[in-house]
Amino acid sequence: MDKKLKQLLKHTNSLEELVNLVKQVDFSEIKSTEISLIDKSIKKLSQKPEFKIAYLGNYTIEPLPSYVNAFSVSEGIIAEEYIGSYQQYFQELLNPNSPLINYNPDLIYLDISLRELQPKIYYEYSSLSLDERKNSLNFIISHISDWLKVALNQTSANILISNFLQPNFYQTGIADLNQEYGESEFYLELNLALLCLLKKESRVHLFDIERLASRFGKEQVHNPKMYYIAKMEWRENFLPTIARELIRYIKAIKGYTKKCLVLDLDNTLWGGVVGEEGVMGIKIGQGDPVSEAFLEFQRKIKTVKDRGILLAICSKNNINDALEAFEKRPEMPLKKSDFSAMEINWEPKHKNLQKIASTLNIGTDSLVFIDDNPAECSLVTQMMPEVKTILLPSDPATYSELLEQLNEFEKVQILQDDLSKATQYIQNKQREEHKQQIGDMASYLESLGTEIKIWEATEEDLPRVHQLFSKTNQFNLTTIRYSMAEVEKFFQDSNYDLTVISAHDNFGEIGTIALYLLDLREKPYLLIDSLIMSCRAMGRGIETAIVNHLKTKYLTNHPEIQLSATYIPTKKNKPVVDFFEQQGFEVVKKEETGTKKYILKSESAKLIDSSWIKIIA
Amino acid sequence: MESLEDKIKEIMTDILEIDDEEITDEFGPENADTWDSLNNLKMITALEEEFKISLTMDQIDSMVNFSEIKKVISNHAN
Repeated sequence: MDKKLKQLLKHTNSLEELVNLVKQVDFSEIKSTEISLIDKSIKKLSQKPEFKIAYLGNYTIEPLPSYVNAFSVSEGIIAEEYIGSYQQYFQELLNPNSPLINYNPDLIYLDISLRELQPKIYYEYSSLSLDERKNSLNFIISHISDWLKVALNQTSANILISNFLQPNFYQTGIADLNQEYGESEFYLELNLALLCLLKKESRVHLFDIERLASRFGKEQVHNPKMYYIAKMEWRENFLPTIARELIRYIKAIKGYTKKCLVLDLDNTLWGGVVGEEGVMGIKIGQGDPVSEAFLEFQRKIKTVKDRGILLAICSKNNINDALEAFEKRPEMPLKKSDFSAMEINWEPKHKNLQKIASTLNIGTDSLVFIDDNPAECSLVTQMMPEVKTILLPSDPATYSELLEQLNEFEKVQILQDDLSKATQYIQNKQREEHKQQIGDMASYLESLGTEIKIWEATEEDLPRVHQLFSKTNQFNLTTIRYSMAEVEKFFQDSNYDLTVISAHDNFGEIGTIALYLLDLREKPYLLIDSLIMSCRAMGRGIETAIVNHLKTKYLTNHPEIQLSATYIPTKKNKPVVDFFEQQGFEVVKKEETGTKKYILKSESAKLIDSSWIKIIA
Repeated sequence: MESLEDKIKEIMTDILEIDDEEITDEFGPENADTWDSLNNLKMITALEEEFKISLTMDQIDSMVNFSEIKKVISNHAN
């Protein structure tokens, strides 16, 4: 970091400036003092943190948070830390007035050092009996399980718990692997038991520090000297790797996941220019190193699609050349049908990206764009700074790893609904074509044969409910981002009606696409706290059918009941600004901010025609 | 070129949040509240990074003030 940047960082007093300065920092060669400097600059601004993390453990974890904070701010996220007292991770949870509980973290990160918790295992494994080894494993798992129960009870945070590192050398040397219940087996079983324990809870995740350490190089993760001096478990150089993994969780938990990966074609999906070299001349497949590199890159892209991320093409090409490549080169892992949108023409790329976003009904800030052309990338960055634009380096050998390094596509959990998303968008395209054939709207809606199912959310629905709360922007009347813990609370509390809606039509399954949350605490005055629908289900009257269902369920034959509702404007929910008016609600208050409050009395509630939507049981 | 002394001072001023005029040869933990055990660790890490060296535990133990730090680092540098 040069002196000038350092001075600017030290003296900045605006968040925007700080974020811009940090974006200029080369994190690949950053020093610990520079990380501290960025962290201090963030703290000086005294901004309200967007994400609060409690770091707990039984070793000196203090140096880690500044890395997390510095990396977060480079992504525009203000993170803040609470550091638990050394060895106090149980006590702090049990005391309802502890600083930890009062801190009310969004995420608790627990990393336990085995040499502190079970020194016998760490130092004397070879002298322990089989029973002692097994008992020790059970002790560790129940210790963590007990802690977890309290943590789930006492906090609403997401929880990350680290697993344990296989030792670099076994106490009995290479013979360990031939022994009954050797050290190696112990750690494999311990980590597997931990994984199984943590998988059960939706807001608890295993933090796979064993994999991170392997990736980083296990001989480098410890610094014995610093452990003896200060009980520091990890070498400073390893902290950035831990911090970057935590950022993946922060982004996934906050729902900052991008929705679509947009790719160029020539020298991005394959080597060479199809318009010049011809379909058979482009490099993709087996046979030569460059072709194999592109083959692997395409395979990696396919795994991104399998996570439920949409794929699209944005390329300057003759469309026939490009499509011919997909037809005549069957060795390509990516097929035409893998792409939910394609803009292949000679228009400027930022315009095409705009079109892709609107075709898919997502914001341009949900796009990641990969291209090999520096001029194209720089134009897109300039015109659409909200798009995450990635310029491919010149050597295709690096492309696959580059894709893996991206933290834009992380989700804490991949749901059934994610997996079918790409198919659903393709069906949407077919619906759109069908609409153009039919011409008038009413017969189009009728011909779709939409059927919806409405039911009170069950436990299995909660992850999808949370996803709808955290990711839906357009059809979202109040845009309250409830955490998983809050979702669980609504589900359990009979003062709330949490209902979900799924849909399908003649083209296929649309999935669990909507929910409402009704606050019943002030009965007979019921409040529509949230009404949310995925954008892919918009524009066919499902929303009207849902409100009709609400009216029938609560107002019909209940003259005493009154429904109230709120619209809170955001940058993205313009499409529903007059939704409640359209559904016959009466505006009772209009605030300067644009927030509107509504009521609907039983006597004035009328059902609005949505007869083309069939409600099935 | 920055002298070795300047580089050490820069690390100390950054971590301890003090002015470099305050740093005399005898400057030690008793002269700054900020020189606590955690910042002491940060200084060790920063010195090792800056001079691309690995300090021994004895050396770390002996680094009780600015002049001792200079001594250890310059011994390494030679």
